[in-house]
Amino acid sequence: MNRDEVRRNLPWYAAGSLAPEEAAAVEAELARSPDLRRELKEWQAIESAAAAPRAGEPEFRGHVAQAWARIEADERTERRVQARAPLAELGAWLRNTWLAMPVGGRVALAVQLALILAMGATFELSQRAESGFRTLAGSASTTPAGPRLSVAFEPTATEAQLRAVLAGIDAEIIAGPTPEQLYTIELHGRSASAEAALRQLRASRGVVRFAARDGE
Amino acid sequence: MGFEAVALSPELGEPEPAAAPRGDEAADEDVRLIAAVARRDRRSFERLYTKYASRVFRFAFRLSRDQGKSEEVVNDVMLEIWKSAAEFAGRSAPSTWIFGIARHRTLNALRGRTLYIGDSDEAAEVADPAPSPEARVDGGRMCERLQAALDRLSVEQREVIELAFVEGLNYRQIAAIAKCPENTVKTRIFHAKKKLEPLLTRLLGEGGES
Repeated sequence: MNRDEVRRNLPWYAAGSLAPEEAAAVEAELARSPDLRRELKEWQAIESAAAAPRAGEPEFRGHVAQAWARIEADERTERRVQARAPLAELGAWLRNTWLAMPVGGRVALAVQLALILAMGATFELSQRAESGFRTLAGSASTTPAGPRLSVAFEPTATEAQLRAVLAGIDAEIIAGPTPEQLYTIELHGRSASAEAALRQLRASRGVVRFAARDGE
Repeated sequence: MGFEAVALSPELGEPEPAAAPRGDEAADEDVRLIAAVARRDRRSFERLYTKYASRVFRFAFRLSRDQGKSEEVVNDVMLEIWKSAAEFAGRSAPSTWIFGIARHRTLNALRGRTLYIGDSDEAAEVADPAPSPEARVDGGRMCERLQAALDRLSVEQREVIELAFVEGLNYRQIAAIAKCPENTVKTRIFHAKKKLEPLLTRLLGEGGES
């Protein structure tokens, strides 16, 4: 270590923070150099002044409770941010995907989304229109495929008898029973007419107790 | 000229060579406390607060001259210790880590304000606030006048003086905290002394060597 390097270590020698080998090099040079000894005195004066308490300097008046309050506030904020993170990530992903897409792709995607929304709206409206009746058997339909009749079966009639009667007039139950044990049946296209079906039903004694046009 | 944005922790930099020879036991205790804080030990955190809060406050105040901001810096530093204790790998002394955070927070608090009183690193004389024709003054007055002159140094010079003479950190530790080469640290402290020299000469007397 040359003299200049030793001199540049003097402040830390004065502060007592040099490594032992560095301190030894300083001491060896100090023993030889009155200038360095004078300079050391200056550093010692600076060190004493810096380390001494300052008149008029405020005392630290903080308390650990303030640090805890700061930590708890930070942790509350952190929890709120984390709770929002999944939505924010999804939003960021959608935004980035949208921005990365060519204009043509954006238009195609927008049209697809519009179609999906329109289909969804149509489906929802059809569901609302259907909500007026409850299906017991067969498939429900918004638009009647054929004439509808109200029928009450005998309580003793078996399922096989019911099936045979309905097959005979090419009909199916689409609603019921009501509290009065009435079923709504729908005639399919192969039926000759509602009147003929009514006659056939009324003739089915032991199976059909009552038959009439729906709403009569 | 002002401070540039600095990395938060000296831990992220080069491994720090030998720490100050004094205070090794205290440093060992601090390492244990930080490890315990990483495990969310509240008592260890409070022990660290007791050891460092007033020192961080003094450091921040001597750089900022703002009591309120300095108190905020203390809480910011303690929050950072609580949050980052697990990342403290022990490559640097705990005081280096903690004062690195303190310096970063203090400079952030000061951002936008005038950071310097007097010149930057340039070696211009710091005016003696109470010049005296006397060649020698008593120790108490000498100390006060030197302190007043120290307060008129640039922030960069004050932080080196504080860390070296008040916190007892060696130049390697200070370089890690200030994120600058060791030679820059030595240059800053020598420029500081250069500014104080006329005052030192008057206070200690010409040819004060005995």
